[in-house]
Amino acid sequence: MVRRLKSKRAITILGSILVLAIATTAYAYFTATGSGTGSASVGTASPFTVTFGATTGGPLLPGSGHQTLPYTVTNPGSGSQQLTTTTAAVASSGGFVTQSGAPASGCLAAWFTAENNPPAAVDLGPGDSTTGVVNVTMTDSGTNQDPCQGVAPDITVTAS
Amino acid sequence: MAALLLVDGATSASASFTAAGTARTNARVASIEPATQVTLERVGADVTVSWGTATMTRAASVQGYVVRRSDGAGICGDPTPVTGRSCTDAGVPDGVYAYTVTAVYNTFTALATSRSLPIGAGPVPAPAFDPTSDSPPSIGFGFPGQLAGIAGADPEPIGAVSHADPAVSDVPSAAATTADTLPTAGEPEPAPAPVNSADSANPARKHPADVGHSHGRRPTAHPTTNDADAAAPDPDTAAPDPDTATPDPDTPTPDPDDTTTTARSPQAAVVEPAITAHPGNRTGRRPPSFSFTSASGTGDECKLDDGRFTACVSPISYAGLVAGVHTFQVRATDGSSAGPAISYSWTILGPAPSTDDTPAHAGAPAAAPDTPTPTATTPAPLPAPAGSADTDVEPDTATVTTGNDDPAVQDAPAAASPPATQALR
Repeated sequence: MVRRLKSKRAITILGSILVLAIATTAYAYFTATGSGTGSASVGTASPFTVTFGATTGGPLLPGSGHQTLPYTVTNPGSGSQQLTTTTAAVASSGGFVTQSGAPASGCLAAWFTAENNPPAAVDLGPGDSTTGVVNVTMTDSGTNQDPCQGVAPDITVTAS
Repeated sequence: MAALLLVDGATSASASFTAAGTARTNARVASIEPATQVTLERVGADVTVSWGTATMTRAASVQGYVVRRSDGAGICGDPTPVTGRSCTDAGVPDGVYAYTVTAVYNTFTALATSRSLPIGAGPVPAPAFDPTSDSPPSIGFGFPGQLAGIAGADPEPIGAVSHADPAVSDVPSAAATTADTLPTAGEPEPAPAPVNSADSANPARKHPADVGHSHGRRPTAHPTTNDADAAAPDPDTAAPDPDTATPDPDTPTPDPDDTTTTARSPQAAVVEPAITAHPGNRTGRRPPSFSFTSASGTGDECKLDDGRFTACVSPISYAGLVAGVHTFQVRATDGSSAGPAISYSWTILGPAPSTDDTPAHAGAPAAAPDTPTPTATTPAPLPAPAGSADTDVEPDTATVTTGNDDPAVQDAPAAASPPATQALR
């Protein structure tokens, strides 16, 4: 009999805990909604905006020189957004770098590197921003690289 | 209680969400502007090549220069580019030569070319350019013969070729003349060249004092639309020879037994032409114009971007090109086979030009389908008739004479004229 009573008491306690957990979950959910980041915002996440600062360094030459492209990632939305990482790349088309979106014939994207120093993963609040840097270099291929002379390769940074 | 905290924490995290964003910017690659003022000074059989400093954009400096003679001989800077701005080619064999000065920065190059210069004196005239040895200069430091993307040789800046005579140093580039045609004082006159040689129609060769005014921006070895020679063609020398392979009987001709002809290097009959003038690396909307040498004997074929090779003559321009990167290619053909093509890539900035602002020349090669319209600015016919005995010797010189003698050519639009820098051969 005593054993049965103890079992009933345990069930009661566990049930209470379960009720509290559910209640807490509901509370957290509705708190988010109440602050303007609720369900209505979930489906309309605003893309991060990436803006570039003043470029420093250069010029890019085969095997020497680098350019530093600082960038800022901003959460333009009205709710917090999780910035996981950023990626940087030399834009290309058909293996050639692009310049203002058009391929620069003969100038291989493989000759360039875009080393990204991303910001740490962070939960960006509305209007908050963080920064990263891309260092661009050009390798010396050992072959004629004249098609790249004067070219302005497109560099792309994606924040997600 | 711990379970409560875990549950609560997970719930809070779910209030944040992620969204990707992308932006694009540009890095900048330097470029080399070719050496300027490539001049030649001959003392006997020694030729001293001098040039102005090649510059690079964005504050870098070229590593040095490679100098080659038009027959392919390396003069200096190969394999290690020289940092000076002159070098001497000693003991130059008889002939007519131009020199190229290639500014180098690792795998970046920019080429500038001198005018042609005859070497040799005496009764035997200097032969015309040896078509078998007049291939474009190879770069010679890792990528021989690769001329794709010759950079910076914007014809306009090079138009300021230097002058031996200070009195003519301020002559506008359209009438500029390099020192290379001037024999050194006290030396015998250069041997007369064959009638269709680059020099035979050029009175400046015989009258150094007039060289700055009578000689055009490029030697007569190539058609010229605004060559000063064209303004006053000499009917005795500039008239086109109906048979380019047949020397003018009134003009000293190479001795048939002259071994200089037979001694030519036994290279392939079809050799690369050389692009002697082209747009800058980045240009505006003006239709780009190209000039190139012809050494094959019967003709050349040009190609733009992804089009196909079609017959063409120098100079040639293209209208209606859209903004972006384009590649021009030219190759020589002897009628049965084509030689290797050389190419030049450049970028047209800004919006696409109107496609109807430059009508195609009647003599222009047919444009390949889906390619812009090539526009020949000089109706120079292809030179030697096929099958002539010596078509590999004189073709381009005949083209020149015709081009210079054509009054219509003189009125060619300046924008389509060969620039002052195309002083090849």
